[in-house]
Amino acid sequence: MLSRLISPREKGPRPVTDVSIRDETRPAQRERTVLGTDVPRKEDDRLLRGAGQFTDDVDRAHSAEMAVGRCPYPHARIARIDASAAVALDGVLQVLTGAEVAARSGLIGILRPVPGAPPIPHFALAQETATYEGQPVVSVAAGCRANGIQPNRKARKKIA
Amino acid sequence: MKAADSDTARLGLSEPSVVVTVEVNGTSVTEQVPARLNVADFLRHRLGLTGTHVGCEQGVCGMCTVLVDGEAVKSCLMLTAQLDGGRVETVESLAAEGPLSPLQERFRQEHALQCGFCTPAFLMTATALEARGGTWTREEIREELAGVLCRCTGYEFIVNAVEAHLAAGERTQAGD
Repeated sequence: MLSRLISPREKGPRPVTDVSIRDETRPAQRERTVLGTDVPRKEDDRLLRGAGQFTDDVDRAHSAEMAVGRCPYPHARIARIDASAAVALDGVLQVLTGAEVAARSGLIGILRPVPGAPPIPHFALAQETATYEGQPVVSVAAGCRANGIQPNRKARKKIA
Repeated sequence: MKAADSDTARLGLSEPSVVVTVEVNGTSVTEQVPARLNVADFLRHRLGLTGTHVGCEQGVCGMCTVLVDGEAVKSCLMLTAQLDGGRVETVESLAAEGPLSPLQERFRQEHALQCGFCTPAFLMTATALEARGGTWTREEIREELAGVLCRCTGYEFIVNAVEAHLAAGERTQAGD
């Protein structure tokens, strides 16, 4: 039967029509397919127990801590950021603001698995205007976590 | 809770600390902690309970939701010192060593998780909801879950799982 599907010119290497040899209608093979069926995920068990490991759960030796100061308003102009008190504290490695991020890095995008959705390129820290509540505005890197959080409060953000 | 200033001096610590005794997932814990240490950091960094996640650290995203005396709270907004004499339950309490709890099993069946980062917070919020008893409409469930964000945006399946769990009257140990 297979030979009837192949024209004489196509003799030689295995013909494309060879796929008809796989009989997809046989029940034994149907049961093995993942298409159209619910497949239990292997990772769900550990994620549901809180036993997953995210990057924040990894403790590396000598790693610095970073605290992020975020915009408390849905939309706000950033009038001024005074990081001098934060920089002066012991243990503080670096304070970054939007201007420094723009000078040192490029635009980043976000994954938006929606067809036709615009990519919304942006910098890691807000520039002149923060456009959503919780947008990162200033970051403080320090040798330990407490030293990161405290100076972040001292990096006074004047937000209009 | 008692101030441990003499200990602070003895240990050479540079900031005020307090001694806190709290029951965490059924185990009594006594720890000397910095007065400013928040509950999320206490659970994660002192007790190693990394199932409680930290997102915004300002009470917006809800990732750090745990139960304190049976109530769902955002643990980044609470100081460890406030836990003294209290009881905390985290996601690790839901199915300590055994099989998944009915609520967790519902989440799995309904595909109510993708990356899993927000999952512990939704589980604990739903646990508190269940402990309050009564019946809940879908709209009320959505309102109650609104304090936790899911950036995979799987809300429909999460609400489905919680709704099905509450409707089935599936009981869990935590929060009872």
